Amino acid sequence: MNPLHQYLLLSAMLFSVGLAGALVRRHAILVLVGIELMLNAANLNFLAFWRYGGNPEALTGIMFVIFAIAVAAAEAAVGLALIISIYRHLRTSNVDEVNKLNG
Amino acid sequence: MELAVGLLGLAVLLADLWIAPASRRILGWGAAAVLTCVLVFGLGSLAPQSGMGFSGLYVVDPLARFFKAFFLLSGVVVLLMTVEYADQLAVGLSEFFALTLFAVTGMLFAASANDLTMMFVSLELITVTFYVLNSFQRGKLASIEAGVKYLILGALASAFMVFGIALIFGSANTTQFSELALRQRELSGSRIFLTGLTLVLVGLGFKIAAFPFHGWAPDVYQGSPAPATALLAIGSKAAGFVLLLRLLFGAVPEITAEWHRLLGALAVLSLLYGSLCAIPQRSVKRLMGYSSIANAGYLLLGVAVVSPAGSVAVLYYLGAYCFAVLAVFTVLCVMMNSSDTDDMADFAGLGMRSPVLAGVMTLALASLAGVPPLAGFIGKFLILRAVIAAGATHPGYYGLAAVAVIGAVISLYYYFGIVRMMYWGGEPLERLAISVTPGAGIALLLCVAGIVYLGIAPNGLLQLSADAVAGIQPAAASAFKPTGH
Amino acid sequence: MSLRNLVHSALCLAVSLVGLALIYLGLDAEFIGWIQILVYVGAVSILIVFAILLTRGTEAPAGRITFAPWSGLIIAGAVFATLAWTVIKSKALTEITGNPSLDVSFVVKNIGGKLVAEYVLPLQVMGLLLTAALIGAVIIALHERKGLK
Repeated sequence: MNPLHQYLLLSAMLFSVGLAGALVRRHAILVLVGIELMLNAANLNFLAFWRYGGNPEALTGIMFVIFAIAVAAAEAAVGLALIISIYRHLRTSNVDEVNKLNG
Repeated sequence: MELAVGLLGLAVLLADLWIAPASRRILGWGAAAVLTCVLVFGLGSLAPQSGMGFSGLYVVDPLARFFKAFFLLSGVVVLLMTVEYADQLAVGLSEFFALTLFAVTGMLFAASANDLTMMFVSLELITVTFYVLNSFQRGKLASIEAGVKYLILGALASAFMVFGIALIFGSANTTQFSELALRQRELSGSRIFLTGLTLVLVGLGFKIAAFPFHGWAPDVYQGSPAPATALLAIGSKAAGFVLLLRLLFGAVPEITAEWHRLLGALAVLSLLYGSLCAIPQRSVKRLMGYSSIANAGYLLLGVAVVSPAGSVAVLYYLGAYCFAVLAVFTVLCVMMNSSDTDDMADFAGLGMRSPVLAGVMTLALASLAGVPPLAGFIGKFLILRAVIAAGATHPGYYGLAAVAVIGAVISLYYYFGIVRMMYWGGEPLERLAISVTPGAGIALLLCVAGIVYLGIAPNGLLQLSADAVAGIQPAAASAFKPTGH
Repeated sequence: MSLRNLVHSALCLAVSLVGLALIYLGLDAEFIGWIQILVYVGAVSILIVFAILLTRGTEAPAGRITFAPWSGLIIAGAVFATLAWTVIKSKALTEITGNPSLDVSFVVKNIGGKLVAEYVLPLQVMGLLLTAALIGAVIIALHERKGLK
């Protein structure tokens, strides 16, 4: 098997790519995509640690990942509903244009 | 107990099917009544025992009980407030009740979380329900915008938190607070663990709207429906703090002691930022958003002291803050029923239109500003006292105390801007008297009673807070003990 | 994350998620691997494609990467550097090369049991969360015409 730190580096890279996407892209859907990538990076970390950790029989890592996946799906659903709703109002999904509340 | 509240939420959803749209407010009354029963009986039956359940995921101790009472109480008031606000919500009133109940359930679970898994899922339950509650007035662009902003930043924060939890799990091989506590000495040398802890704190910092992660607060406060904002201001913040206290003092007290500088700096920055930005605000809800950042600063100050006295002050301050904020938002709900804006100009002449509302508002704002003999004063006083007491060991704390005093003076200025507007703001735009419905009346009465009672007789709550803190933070800071008993 | 066409981005996301699922399978986390394919590739990616098509935003709006791109990239780069440094510096980790004594069928068999025993509270919270998300998504996205009482 590959050494653990390769998984961790891959996950760190995925996390950073997601973060960069979420910060740089201005399209609301892409921001959400970036966040999904970050969550996936965290899940990869969890599984790698679980597999290589001292006590894989405890299944803590697996359990957490199950919950994290469910949360991510729920977040994506609500998020996309919001984006569709805002599109109806503004005909855009560019985050920068959503700033009526500055003051 | 949590399950009771969750089931109540589902029951409300079901009952919605049989009840005519016109009489849906009854649901709110019913839900509030049942929640009160849960508060009284649930706490009564829980009182004696304390212990852990579900293989250590769930803990019942004085701290949990303190916060459960706190959340249930704010849940009741928010439901009453929603009844008042019903006309502003175009559709789905009963869904609003149900979601409020779900959020309260999440908070109750958070109060008892003794495991990172539990902490994560309960926080997410709160966050996801708030995404929806914030954007509930979907006919209004501002409300949807609030929802989108909260969603993007909230999802980012939870991504950070999951990654942090993964790193903590990786280095410690456990997610339970009490097991972390047992191994903290070896863990404090692990870089992975420290990085993970930092990332989790980023996630929690978002919840409490502390300085670098505060960006969402003013926009979201302004755009969301008022009852949702009230619940967000109190519940979300308090849930963040109960987890912060559990994590920092219950799981890793030694690392926390080393990090007090960082916490202190964050506290000062949020305090100053919130106070200074609040001054020019015209929208009362937005002003409350900035004031909530400032208040997060005060509360963090109490955490940064790293002493039991500081934590007691935090709990007390939260209690006082809760009543005052609920009162402000209830008044806002009543006001917005007649005018639909929360601009400060609308408050002009409120003293004439409705002396009761103006009086309550003044009382609540005075309490927030920390005018003696009200609850807010005692809260600020306790925090300052804890900070100054810590100054004996680290002189830097005197500086923090000075900043806290400056912040209090600034807040006095902007809170009284509203009061001035209400009494001396010139002629009201419309002369109509504003009537107070029974629901709002009860909510206001509760809040006023809380503000005054806590100010005049602080000992009861103080004792409760002290008991609560004793569970996670024994008086001798060096003698370390895990969360259990 | 740098593609202009949103649909392409979404498809790339699906591909990378499948890749992750394969890595999960390689890590003996069979259950999670398949869940990943079902939930992410099957549901989330499709949801994203739908959202893109519904908002007709197949082309990213003008000024895609103009908003403070450098600050965002710098923050992300800094985070990556910190994480990578943390991982590489933690000597103990690089030496761990597997813990092969894991019976895969044991994992799958026990997930269900754990879920309703130790983790029953998080499971219920999760149930409430999904209910809330469902109600919320419906309420938010419901069309205005029907929304007016």
